Amino acid sequence: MELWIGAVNLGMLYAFMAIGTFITYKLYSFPDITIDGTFTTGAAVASILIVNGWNPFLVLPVAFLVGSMAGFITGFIHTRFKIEGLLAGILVMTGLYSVNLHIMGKSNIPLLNDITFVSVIASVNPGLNPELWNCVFLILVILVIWMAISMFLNTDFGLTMRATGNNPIMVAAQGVSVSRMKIFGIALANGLVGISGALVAQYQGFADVGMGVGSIIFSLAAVIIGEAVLRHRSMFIKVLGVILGSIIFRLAVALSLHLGMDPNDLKLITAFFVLATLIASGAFGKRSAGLSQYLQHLFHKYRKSFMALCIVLFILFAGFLLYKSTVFNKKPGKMVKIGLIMANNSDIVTKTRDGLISELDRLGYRNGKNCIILEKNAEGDIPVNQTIINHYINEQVDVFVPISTASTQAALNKVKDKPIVFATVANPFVIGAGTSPIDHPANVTGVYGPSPIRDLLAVFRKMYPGKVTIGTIYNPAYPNTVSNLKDLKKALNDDKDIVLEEVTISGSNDVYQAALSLAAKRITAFVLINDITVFNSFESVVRISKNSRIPIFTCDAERLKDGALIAYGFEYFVSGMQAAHLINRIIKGENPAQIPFEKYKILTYGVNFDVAEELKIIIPSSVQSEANATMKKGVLTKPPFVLPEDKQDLTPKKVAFFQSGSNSMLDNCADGFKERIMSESKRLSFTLKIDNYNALGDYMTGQTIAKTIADKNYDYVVTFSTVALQMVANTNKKIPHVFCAVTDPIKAGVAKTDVDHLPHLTGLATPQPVEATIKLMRALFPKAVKIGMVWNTGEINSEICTEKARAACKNYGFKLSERAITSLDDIDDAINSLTGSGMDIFYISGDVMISQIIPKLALTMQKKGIPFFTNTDSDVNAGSFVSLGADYFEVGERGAMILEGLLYGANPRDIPIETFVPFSLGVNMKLARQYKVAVPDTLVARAKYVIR
Amino acid sequence: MIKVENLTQTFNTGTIDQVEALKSISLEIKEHEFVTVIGTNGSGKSTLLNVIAGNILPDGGTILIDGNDVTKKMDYQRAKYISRVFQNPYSGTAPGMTIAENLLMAWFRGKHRYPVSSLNRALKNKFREQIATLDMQLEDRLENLMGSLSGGQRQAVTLLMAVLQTPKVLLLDEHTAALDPKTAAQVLLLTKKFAGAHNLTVLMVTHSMQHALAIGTRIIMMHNGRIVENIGGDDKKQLTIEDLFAKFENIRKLEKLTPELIKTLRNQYI
Repeated sequence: MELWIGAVNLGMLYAFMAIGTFITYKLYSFPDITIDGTFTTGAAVASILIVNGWNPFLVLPVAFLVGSMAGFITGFIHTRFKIEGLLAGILVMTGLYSVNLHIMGKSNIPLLNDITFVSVIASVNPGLNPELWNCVFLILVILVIWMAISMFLNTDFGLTMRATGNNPIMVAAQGVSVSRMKIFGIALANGLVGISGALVAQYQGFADVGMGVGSIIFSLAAVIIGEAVLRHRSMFIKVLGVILGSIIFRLAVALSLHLGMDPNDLKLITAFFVLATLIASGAFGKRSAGLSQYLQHLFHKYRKSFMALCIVLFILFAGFLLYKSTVFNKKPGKMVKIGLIMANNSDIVTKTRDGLISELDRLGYRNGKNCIILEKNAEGDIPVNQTIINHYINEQVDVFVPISTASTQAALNKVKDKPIVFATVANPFVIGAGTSPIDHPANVTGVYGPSPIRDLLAVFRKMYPGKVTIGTIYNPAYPNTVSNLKDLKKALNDDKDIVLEEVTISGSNDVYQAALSLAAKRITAFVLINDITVFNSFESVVRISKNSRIPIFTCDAERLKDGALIAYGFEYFVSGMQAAHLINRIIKGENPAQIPFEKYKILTYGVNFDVAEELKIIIPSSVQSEANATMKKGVLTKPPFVLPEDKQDLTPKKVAFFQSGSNSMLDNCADGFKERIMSESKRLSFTLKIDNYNALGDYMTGQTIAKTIADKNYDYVVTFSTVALQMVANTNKKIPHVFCAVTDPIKAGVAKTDVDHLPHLTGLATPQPVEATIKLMRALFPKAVKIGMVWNTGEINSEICTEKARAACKNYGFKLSERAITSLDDIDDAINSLTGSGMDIFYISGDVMISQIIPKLALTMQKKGIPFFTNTDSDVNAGSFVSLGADYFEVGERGAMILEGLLYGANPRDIPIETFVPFSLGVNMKLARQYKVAVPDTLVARAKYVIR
Repeated sequence: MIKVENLTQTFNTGTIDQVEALKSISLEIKEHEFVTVIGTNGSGKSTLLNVIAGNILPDGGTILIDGNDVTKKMDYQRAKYISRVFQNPYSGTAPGMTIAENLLMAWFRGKHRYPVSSLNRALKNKFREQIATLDMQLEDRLENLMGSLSGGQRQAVTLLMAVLQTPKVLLLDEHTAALDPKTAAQVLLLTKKFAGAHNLTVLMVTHSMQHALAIGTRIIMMHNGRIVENIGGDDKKQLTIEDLFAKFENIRKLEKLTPELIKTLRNQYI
């Protein structure tokens, strides 16, 4: 049902634009192409204002004004300089593209977390389906607009406008300036288009610089359909027809999607439905004319009361919404104050804090909006914890949240009458927080867990049986370290074959010395208990580990990527999440005395194969098969945070795959995903029903697909590309969603950090390896000075890539000479001007548009003898010199692994967004000889594509 | 009421198609005068009308209407003084709008139009009375589209629109030329009727000498961008078709005397 209502809603939003086109095209016989630009301008203005905190309704008049300014310019050029109307429109539309980019500052503005008209009306939803509720609101708005526009066109002024279009000679003879009338009409029309853009941007949750493309086609279709469906010369019926035409067009798109046609046929089918509508209305012409007559009659009869009713309803509703939208942020009553106390900046503490904050956010706690979250860090200075606590007491903090043992200890000492929720404490019982998880001070609860030191030793034993010596380093100043050491010694009591060498330190500076002294004692391995001092200078231990080939075993999962061979420990991010739930329960009224301490729920058992290779250690297969995390070739692979209570469900799962368009990158990514998920689902005995959607690069189709997906009760959604992600993120707030082939999910608006993302989605960020490419350029061409680069202002990924290139060029001593283009027509000029100014290396940003013509560009560069670098590995086959990019097939495979995690019951909100760039290189050795460049053999060996 | 002085107008200046349409024309038309303009094709009579209406801004000279200098004013700015009926019966009305709406356009000739609805029952009744004077049974068709009327009917309505707000000057540009003889006579009759009823100042261009004789107080004959005859008062009343033919014949003969020939003749005889 949502699909249909959604289509009607879109139809009503686009109806503003169609009415604009009705004014220019039907009243003035002036097909105004400006609207392709104005639509985006309206969206751009609205978005940038909303992001800056404007009221989502007040942006509409601004969008109207800016839109009508664009229309004014078209009208002025047309009448003053006698430029053909079509050309005047094209000129202004072309210019608006740049203006829109300037307004937006980038090519895409996400609004997912901002207050839009949709979120305001959702806040007063009496319990209807949200889409239906939107519909109710929009019907009211469209009724008023219908009335207002039709009534206006029947006034003396409106009649003069119509007469101007109908017979300019006559109105001039009646004393009317035809030019002024035309300019006014075109400005009015574009103002309406601007409003349409502003509404659609809010509705779909983002503004994109390309969203206006094709507007003119759509709105002409809407006008013509409307004219065919309702035939009467009354302006009321005509404008109503336009609105219906807009809705019918959207419904046709929805219908062709609903029928589940081959995505490639989507546009054909839509065209067919529209044609069928036109033919049908022709065949039933008389009846349709009769209906129009009847409508007109009815309308004429009850016109006044109907108008009055509409206006009264609208004013009431609008007034209420305006009130609602201004008080939206303010919540009456005192806001709960949550005070975080962090002992230091170590990874463990930071991860806990991140997990806690993001989970609080998911539970609905918004800092400054409905709660106050205070954060203070003692920066490793233990007495400062106490100062922070005192400060919080003065601030009348309601819940104290100490993270780490030192902070918790300080809180326990001082706070007796307010709840304390601690997180990431190895052993709360050694610092006076009771004797067992259920026997603790009445105001205290929290999340804890001793390091799994026994398990770590068990792994160690699998690799090193027999008589061995191990070494450990610790700072006795911390009670939890001492407690951890006790646990280690207890575990060693059961295994007399292991000799423990321990070294104490008093600060980070001592760690290197301590590790060195242990190495001198010929220990087999470092077994490191959790100790913040040691971990803060973990690099020192790693250096000794490498030099002396002594592996590191640790209880901290975070150390796996830093150079530990085996890490067996808890995920502190989850500790924070668990604490957030406890805070929520207490704020909701539970008594902390009744809440048992919780243990950490997620454990990582990781093996670092890179370290193993370096230290020439063979990992036994039993360890390999038990481990759930690996570090291989610099890529960290971790299991999703599957909560233990989640169970595997074996019913068939419906999965929607949504590709925004087709190109080698997206196709590769989708192929990798599908191949992996199909083979894995067989192995894991999941039954998957997959539906493929492809918008073929069209915005409106994309939106409708996104609606369909949200409507069809899929179990999972997978999107390929940033646009697909944004569209689905906007329509779907509940179906678990995995995204791939996205450069930057944060810029796409679905996440604030890799862990703080929309709760129902997760996925992969795959930025292009720009810095690495430029580093490589420097390595291969030590004397090169200037990099020429062409990029497309219309694609956000292109923009991000160029920004990175600017920074990287500075770092590697290049001068970057860029040419931004908006269409392929400009590429030759751009390249000529670059070669004219003398570039040493040519580089492109990997956007979809320019990537289409790589063979052509490669040929040009080969002729000119300029090395050509690109960012898709296979480009060398098309003639580029060096191409360093991500292997999107692998990205797809990796994305499939995330979906597997979800199939196993993981919650997407627990899975951080992973930055995943599987480097993939292509190099052309023929060109290397021509350019007299020595490409190192190691590089060639790593390349996936080598042209010889 | 209308005073033009030294009006000149040249088309396609500087090309081989250069035409001097008006050669320093001066003319004064008094209030309530009904002047008909006749002339051969290309004599400049239509250009004169267009320059007065403001469709063409003249190269030189001045135009005063009711004492106001309108030489530099655009056509729509002159519309508060001038109303017009065109040769093409389809030019004066908007076919896609109703008769009442067309009349409303004329009701506001030369005035500001505001976004309010003036077309109420009282005004429609007034329009109905006015349109009844056309005697064309259009009284009950006010809500019909203008496009559904015949050319003659449309020209009659255009004429009515032109006098709906009494103009200072009424310009008629061969307004019966495109109509069949019967309708033309009907429209001419209406022209006479309205001119008399409102005591209008009229400048009527016509190609029909009969019409020129049958109507108006003064005849102006134009040739080659100049006024060659200006017959008013009793002379006009006594004028016959034969006289007019004779004058045309005269011009035709003169035509053959090229400036070079005149020069030679002068040299020989003087």
